[in-house]
Amino acid sequence: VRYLKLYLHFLRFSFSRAMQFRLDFTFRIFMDIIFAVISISFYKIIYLNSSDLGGWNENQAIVFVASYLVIDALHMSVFSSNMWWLPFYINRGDLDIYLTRPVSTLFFVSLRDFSANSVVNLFIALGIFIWSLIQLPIDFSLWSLTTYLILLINGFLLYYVIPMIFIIPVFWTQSGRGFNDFFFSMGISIERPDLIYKGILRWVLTVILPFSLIVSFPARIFFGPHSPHLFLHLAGVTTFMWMLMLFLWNKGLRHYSSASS
Amino acid sequence: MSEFLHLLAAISLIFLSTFAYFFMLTFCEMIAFWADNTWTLGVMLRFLISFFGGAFLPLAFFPQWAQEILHFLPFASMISVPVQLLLGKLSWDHYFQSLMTLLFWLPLLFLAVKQLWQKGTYQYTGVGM
Repeated sequence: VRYLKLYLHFLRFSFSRAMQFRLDFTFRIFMDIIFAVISISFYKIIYLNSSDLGGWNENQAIVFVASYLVIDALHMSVFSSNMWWLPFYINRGDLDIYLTRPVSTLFFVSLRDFSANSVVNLFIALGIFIWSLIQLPIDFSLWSLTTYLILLINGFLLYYVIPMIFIIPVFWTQSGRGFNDFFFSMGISIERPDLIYKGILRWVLTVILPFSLIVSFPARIFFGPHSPHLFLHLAGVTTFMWMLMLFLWNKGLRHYSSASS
Repeated sequence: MSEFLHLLAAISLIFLSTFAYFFMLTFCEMIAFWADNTWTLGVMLRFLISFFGGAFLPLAFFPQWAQEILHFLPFASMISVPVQLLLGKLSWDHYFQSLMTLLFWLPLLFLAVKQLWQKGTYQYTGVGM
């Protein structure tokens, strides 16, 4: 309850700050609308030339891309700004302030800055998601939809853990630039069905850097046929990634030396 | 010899594209005279160049009407055309067409940047001066 109250305070501050910069607020909405239009157009154009991509038809691909848009909007709202600032806190020694707070430092640095400007886009993404489900010509049960939503929430959390694994080395490297660029270059694979990747690249994207587990695996489970193997894979890799992130974070904190004292 | 000429042609387009991208991005960054944050405009620009330039999808996949419009925009000359040239898949006619498109857009982009810079500096107020 204490953490929930604290998070509500974060939200209040973030909304009042966002309202001070109206033009920036508008730009963000435009940026995300363009991103959504391009993402959907990408698949629409592919399906003008082919009827199947990674085993999915056009309607399924649109549900997949809409799910990605929701997860991305959630990520942009909740985590992205905090992740942007974390390397600066570490390098400038600003992390001291958070280490002295009587709450989890990881909680504080991960959730403090809520990007209120992205909330409008979250609603737009949710609208596209609902529209895409209505367009889907396959009947699905409430149970199957609930499972899909739970797996997408898991994907959203994984979308926090993986970039954090790329950011935490800043404790040792001082600059996160190379890791960050690598993450963004590879990150485009989140927006593609995992079955289009073959061989070693597929193994990398589903085990080592499991970008494909964020949306593609949940979508595959939703569209069926259900395979226990996919659930086990998802659960195993997600647990491992969380443990790795927490291990690296604790190691990083032990290595951290304040800039001021 | 032909491969070497294709390489030179691709380099010439990449060289001009660097200026085109510089002017486009500078235009976006100069909005900072009026806005507090302009990184979103840079991201939008990259999305648009990548999508309409053929970095996400080959432009041949686009519907015919869209391809005809893209013909007049500078984006294809910045990504798709140099790549096609390096692959030896483009005729010289196409190359000269792309070259002309870039040479047409470059002065326009430059003028737009210059215009915006003047407008921006007129309304700029320094702090602590």
